[in-house]
Amino acid sequence: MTFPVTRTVQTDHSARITPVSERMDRKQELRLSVTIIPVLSDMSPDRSGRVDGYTRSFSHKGVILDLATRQKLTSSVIIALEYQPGHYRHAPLEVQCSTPVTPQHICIEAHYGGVASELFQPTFLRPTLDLQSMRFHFGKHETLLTQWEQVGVLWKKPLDCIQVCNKCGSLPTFRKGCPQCGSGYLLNDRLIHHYSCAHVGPAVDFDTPESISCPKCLVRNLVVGADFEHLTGICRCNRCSWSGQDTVSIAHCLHCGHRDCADQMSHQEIFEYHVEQLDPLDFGPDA
Amino acid sequence: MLNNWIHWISDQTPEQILLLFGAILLIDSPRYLFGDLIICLWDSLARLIPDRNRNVATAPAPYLPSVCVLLAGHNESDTLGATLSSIWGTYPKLEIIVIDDGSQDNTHQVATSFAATHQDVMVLRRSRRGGKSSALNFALSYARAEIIVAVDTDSHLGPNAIWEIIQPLRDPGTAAVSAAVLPRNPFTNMLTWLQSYEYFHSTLVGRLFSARLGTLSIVSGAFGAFRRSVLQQVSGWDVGPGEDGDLTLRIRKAGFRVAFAPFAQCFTKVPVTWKHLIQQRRRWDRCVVTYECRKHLDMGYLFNNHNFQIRNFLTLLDRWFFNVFCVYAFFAYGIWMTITLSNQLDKLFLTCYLFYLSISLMQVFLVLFYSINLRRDLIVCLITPLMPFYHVFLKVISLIAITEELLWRRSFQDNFVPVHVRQKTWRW
Repeated sequence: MTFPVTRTVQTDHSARITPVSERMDRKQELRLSVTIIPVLSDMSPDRSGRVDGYTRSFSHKGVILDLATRQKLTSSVIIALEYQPGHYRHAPLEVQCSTPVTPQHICIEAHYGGVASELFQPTFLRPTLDLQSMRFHFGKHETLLTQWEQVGVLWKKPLDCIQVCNKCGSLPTFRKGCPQCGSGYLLNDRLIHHYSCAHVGPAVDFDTPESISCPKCLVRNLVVGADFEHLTGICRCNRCSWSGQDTVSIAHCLHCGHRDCADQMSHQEIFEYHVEQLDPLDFGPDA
Repeated sequence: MLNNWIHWISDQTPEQILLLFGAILLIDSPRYLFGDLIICLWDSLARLIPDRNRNVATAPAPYLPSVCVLLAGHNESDTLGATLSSIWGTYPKLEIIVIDDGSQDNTHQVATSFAATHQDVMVLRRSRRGGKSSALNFALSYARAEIIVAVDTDSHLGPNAIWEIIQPLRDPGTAAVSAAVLPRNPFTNMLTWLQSYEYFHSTLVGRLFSARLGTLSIVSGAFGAFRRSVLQQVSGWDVGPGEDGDLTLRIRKAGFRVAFAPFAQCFTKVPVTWKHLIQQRRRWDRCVVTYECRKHLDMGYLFNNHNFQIRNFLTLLDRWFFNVFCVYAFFAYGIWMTITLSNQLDKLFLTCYLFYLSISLMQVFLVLFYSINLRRDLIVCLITPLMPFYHVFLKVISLIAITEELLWRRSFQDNFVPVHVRQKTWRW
């Protein structure tokens, strides 16, 4: 990782191992280019209030910033730090205090966290399955996430490609079914192949009260795998007259009741949102 | 040289000449000659003398039972499509069951795509190869037709072959029908040409003769018809190799007859390399020991045998004598003659060759008499001068195969059956 500005680290190099509690409190002077996006009360980004500035110092608890604005910021903001040209990392901040430095600049002190932290939670960024509509969606946050995507904090990442009902778009259920009528109620023949005599017959014919015996050569105490194997016979549809081995995958939509072959269903890509998070430990004195 | 030979042969007494020809008389082909001639004469007279009792009004209606064709194959995607095309639609009440025996190629896709566009075609598949016998038994459990026809997936059927092969089953006492299996690639090279002549004579005319005698002991796995009730009675096919001959013998033991349909023709691919031919013939010849000399030896029990039938006994005698005894006798005789006449070997071989050739030429007429494609069969018969050498070559293979089976039971190590099955099967 390369940063555009050199940093001045004031640390005691004679101490090789620094205690964690000490590291957490230590401040580091570092001047980096940042953008601050205020977060409104409804968690949406305040596009007009976007402010550029520089960092003054970092610690693991928070950051002190010089910003080129005079207006008062909201208490919750998102910091976007350009760690590579064109690439930003973000973190939620809770503004602790704001001090005017010059007529055009203010200095703010902010801690990591605050109400905007919710935006960075995986559960907030991933779609969930609504069991009523049987669809994946982000719920009421969908517009909010789009707004954050538009300001460049979030970006869409493909999560999966799923089959959905071509009538209503809901998630269907799948089962092996009859290729003629689509019924999932199939009766499957269980057969046994006895190796010694090549006999193939229904498994029930091999069942005797004592053991498994071949009805052709009358050998008893057969062991599966060593003496015989199970074969999958044909399936018989309980609704129509179809029989065969090549069943098809049948999709049934629980929302609208539409039933069809699975390959006739629509395909839908689902996305999740992703955010490049700023890790405060990256700017620690021992980083 | 020819003069020397004429002088030499004219000096021999009749007994000496008979002694010279003894070895040749033990070779397969001439053994059928006299029987073939009688049948040929009989059929010729039957053609000449019109049957006055036969007229259209009293002629029986064609026998048209429901038929199910079983096609079991392993990695046969190259030939399966053409085989299915040659069968489908050739008979009114025809059902086809294809069994994909654990293929790793596109066999299943070929079968399912054919079934998708053609009625009454069922495709069965099993993920692990289990052998031809169990594959056929697997399909048999789903067949509902009265007659079961087993066809190899690399074979093509001739015109009306299904109709021809089921006609002998009109007789309730007949449970199996053998067909004329002919080569599909007769002129690929000299080896296939030699086999073609052999198939024409041994398979076509030879089986016709055996069927007339009632001693036919093989319904070829390439193409054969069976009554389903009888197949179920004998519990279908046993583990191979040679499961076709084994099934035929079990059907005979159950008291049913085996017929031959000469005009039900099936064209199968014959081996094109010597290596494959040797493998195939070793497999076939070993079966004589496995089945006729071991498994079904009870067919020859004269006493305390309620199922004894003279035809079955003659079948065993035929196989024992010509396929086992004569093989050893041929070489013993040949060695003895070579030692005895070591200074006249050239004359001995020339005599034997000419005698054999003259017999073969007579057989050519028999082959052509029963031919339904005279031009093709005439060309096939042009290979006749080389047949004596080919038959001696086959005798050598037989000698090796029979000996190794008698001593080491090599048929139970044959790759024809998957390892997990052949390790468990009954060893006869």
